[in-house]
Parts: sequence; structure tokens; C-alpha cells
Amino acid sequence: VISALSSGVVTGLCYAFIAYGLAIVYRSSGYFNMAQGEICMFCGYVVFLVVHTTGSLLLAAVAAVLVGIATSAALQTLIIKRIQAADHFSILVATLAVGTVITEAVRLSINEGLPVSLPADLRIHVMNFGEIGGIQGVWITVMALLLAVALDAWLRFGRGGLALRAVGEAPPIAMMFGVAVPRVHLQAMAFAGLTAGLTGVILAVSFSYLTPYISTTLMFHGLAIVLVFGVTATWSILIGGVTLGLIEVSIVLWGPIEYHELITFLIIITVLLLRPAGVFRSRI
Amino acid sequence: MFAVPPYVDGLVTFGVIYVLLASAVHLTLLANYLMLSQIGLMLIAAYSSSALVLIGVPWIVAALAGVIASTIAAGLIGLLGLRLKDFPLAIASIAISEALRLTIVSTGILGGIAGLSGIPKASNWQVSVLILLAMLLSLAWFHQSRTCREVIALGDDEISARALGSNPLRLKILVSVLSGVLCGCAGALYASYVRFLDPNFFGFSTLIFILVFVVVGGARRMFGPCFGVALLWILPGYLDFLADYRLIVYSVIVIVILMIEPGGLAALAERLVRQICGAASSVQGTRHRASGNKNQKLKGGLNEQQTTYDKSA
Repeated sequence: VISALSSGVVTGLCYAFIAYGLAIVYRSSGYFNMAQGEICMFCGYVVFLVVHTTGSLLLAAVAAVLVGIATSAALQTLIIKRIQAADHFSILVATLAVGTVITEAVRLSINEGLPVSLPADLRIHVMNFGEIGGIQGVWITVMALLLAVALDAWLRFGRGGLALRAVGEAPPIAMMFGVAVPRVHLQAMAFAGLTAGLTGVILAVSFSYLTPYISTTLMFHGLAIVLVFGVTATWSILIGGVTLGLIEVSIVLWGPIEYHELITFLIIITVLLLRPAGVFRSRI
Repeated sequence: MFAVPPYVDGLVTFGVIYVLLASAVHLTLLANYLMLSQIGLMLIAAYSSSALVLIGVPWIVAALAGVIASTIAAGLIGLLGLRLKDFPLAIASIAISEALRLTIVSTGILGGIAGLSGIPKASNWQVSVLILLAMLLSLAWFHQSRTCREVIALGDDEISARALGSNPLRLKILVSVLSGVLCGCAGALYASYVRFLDPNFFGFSTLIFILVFVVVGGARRMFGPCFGVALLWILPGYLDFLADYRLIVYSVIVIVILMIEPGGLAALAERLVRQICGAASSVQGTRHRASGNKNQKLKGGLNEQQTTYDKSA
């Protein structure tokens, strides 16, 4: 039971990382980057490719983070910036299309779209709900906590965080006070890329296998966390992710396994209806 | 008499189904009301009409019952507007759709994950086109109405709309119900054409397809869904030569269209028509100006002649 619950924590942290990326972009720009899940999946594949080429997980993690940042920054500069003036629905669809391009590119170019996985000694068997082995589980938890603390401190006290919040609240006023709004948008996307890279690392080491289509489930969980637990406090996202992971594992352990997805959706609907402003009353 | 190849039959019927669903999304977007349960409503209509047909109810009655079921469900989902708005509403409504699909998958009712088969065929492209025409006429009538203007005002600014006497909840439920009617028609048509219901069809990916049709066509314009479906549903058929790269090219086209005109194809068409009309009117204006100058010159000449005549006199 303890090992399964630990697996739930790691899966939940993975969801929380996706939610961080979504939340930071939402707070600066007011829209959700629907390609976030695909960028995470792409970073997971980068980890797989680098490990298979060099054998080093650390190098793979660095590469995944860099690729995540570069992809997100490119998305912002080449596409979103050019349609930023349009309504958020257009940006949503444009990012969905970018997500499709990434999924298809991965499907066509890596292992013919078949599932891939890291060597067994580098993995922790989260999705099998087996034993949570190795040092990776601890690393992931520590990394998530550190990131949550750093992000919270940056948003509260850092100049960049202040600028980001100002741009999110009222871009014209932020501009009047000398904040470079496009640069802040780019920084937020780059930060989302960083979290995508870290999510990719967690995906690669903790999930039994990776497929190009894993991103849809991840995205839906990430969005649910952001909406149910709010975006204003980073610790609430962390709690949300872990709670969702634990709920899923608990249903698998003690509930009817074939209903676990249905129950998750019903919980999301119920929470949204009972507390529309989020569990922690942090309005988005 | 009007026999067409099966490929064209399928293309037209599915095109109409997608136009119906995209128009249903368009109606809710007019009110800026992100109720995105359209696929779930379609599922309700498709499954309920098929279940009735399978127990011997005539298709037309079963289809009507499906539309009514979908409409009632849409009205109930519309009540979400009492508690939720914007993205939380979108997520809750999508979650309702998914919960409906997962209920069928998990419980095994109505065929479960294996799908519901043996539904008799009752529609073809002629039926689809008739439904499309009826839908377009109704939508055109709605777009001319005062209620539609209230809905648009609500979408632009809810507080101002409320100040002008509109009842936002009534309008939100109204667009949900209208959306439910269109989804019901799409569901009944789909079930009777495909004759097999796979619960996976009613998933998130189909909703994404519909959203792409709406946004690329023009989310706030009546013919936007038609433009979107015409381009993005018919186009992939011609992209077959690209084989595996088809979806990539398709997505790139979507991105390029949004970068050129974020208002979608309908807005692009409007802009082109305006430019052409503007060019035509400016040509006409130039002619008017030219003839005006000519008259002035003529008048000036006459005046000069008059002055010369006066002087000489």
C-alpha cells in the first residue's frame, strides 16, 4: 500500500509540473497553452533518446530542460506573438494545432510511434504500482518541493514575478510602468518550457512506457488541477497534483478499477460545482 | 436519380454532422458561454435514438426522441451557468461529456466499449442536406432576431447587457438548448448513417476537431462553421498523397490561417469582399470625381466666356 501511495505521489507531482507550466502562462497572458502536454511528452522522448545515445540520465535531463525551454520560446515567438491580439479561443486552437504537429512528428520519427521506455534500472515503476525503487522517487519529490518554493518566492518577492503578475492583471498599466510586456510573455513561456522539461524527465523515469498520445491525459489532469486548485498559490497546485495522484491510486487500490477514470471526472465536476472559485478560493 | 458514389455520400453526411456540431459550438460562443458538452449531447441523441430503433420504434420517432433527450440534457447542463463561467465552465462541461462516455465504457450498457451495432440505415446525403438547409434557415432567422442581438451583447459585455435589461441566465440556457437541438440532430443523423456506435468516437479528440472547424471558419459568424468544415473536412481528402504527413500539413494550414486572419475564414472572406467592393466604389468615386472635374472645367470655361463677353460688352 505504501509503495502504491508513493507511486500516486510521483504521478501527482507529474500532473503538478504540467499545471505549473499552464498556470504561469495563464497568469501572464490569460490563456492556456494547449501544447504544454505535447511539449512534456516531447521532452520525455528527448530523455529516452539521449539516454540511449549517451547512457547518462543527468545529461538527458539537462537536454530535456533545454529542449523544453527552446520549444516553448519558439512557440511564443513564432506563433502566439503573432496572434496575441486575437481572442483567446484562437490562441487555444493554434496551440492545439502545434500540439498535433509535435505528436505527429514524434510518432513518425521515433520508433514508428510504438511505445518506448528507458532501461529498467533507470525507471521507477510508477504506473505498474509496483515498488518505488531507486533514488529517483526521492529526487522527484525534492525537485518538486524546491521548484514550488522557488516559484512561490519568485512570484511573491521577485521583480520578474511582480512584472508577470502586473502584466497578467493589466498589461497597459504594466507597460506604463516600464514593463516590457512581450518579454514577460516570453519569460513565462520559457518557464513553462522548463517545467515541461522536468515533466518529461519524470515521465521518462516513472512511467512504464511513453507513447506520443500520453499528452492528452496529462493535459486534462493539468487543466483540472489548475481550475480546481487555482493558480495564484503554487503550493495549492502542488497539493492539487498530489491529491489527484493519490485519488487515482486509491481508486485503483480500493475502488472498482474500471471506474477509476469516471470517478476522477465526477470528482472534478463536483468540486467545480461546489467551489467554483477553486478549493482554496483562489480565483483564476 | 441522385445516386452518388459512397465516398461522396459519406463526405457530405459527415460534413453536415460536423457543420451541425460546429454551429452548436458557435451558438454558445456567441454568448461567450464556454459550454462545451456538444459531443456528450450528440452521444445522448445517438445512443437514445439507436436504442429506440433497436426495440422497433420507427426511425423518425426515435430520432425526434433523441433530439428531445439531447435538448433536455443541454438545458440541464446550461444551468451550470448559475455557478460557473469561462474556463471552469469549459472544463466542467467537457468533464460531463467524458463522464457520459465513460459511463457507457465502464458499465458496459448499450454495448459498452465494444460499441452498439445492428442499427438500421435510415439516412443518406439527401436527408443530411435537407437537415442542413433547415438548420441554416433557422439559424439565419435567429441571427436576425432581437434575441440574437441580446445574446451577442451578452457575449461582448455581460454587465452592460444586464444593465440594458437582458437576463443572462435565460440567454445562456437558451443558447444551450438551441445547441442541444443541433447536437441532437447530429447524433440521430450519425447513428442512422454509420449504423455502429463506438463510444471512443465521442471523446475529446472529436471535440477538438469541432473547435478547430469553428475557430478556423470564424467563431462569431453564422457561416463560420460552414467555411471551416468546407475547408478542413474536404481538404484532408485531397491530402491523401501526403500519407502520414497529412495531419501535420492540416495543422500547419490551421496555424497559418489563424496567423493571417484570427477571425477565421469568414472574416477573411468578408475582408476580401469589402476590399473588392471598396476598390469598385473607389473606381466609381474616381469616375465621379473625374466627371465632376470635367463639369467644373466646363462651368469654369463657360464662366470665362461669360466674363469675356461681359468685358467686351
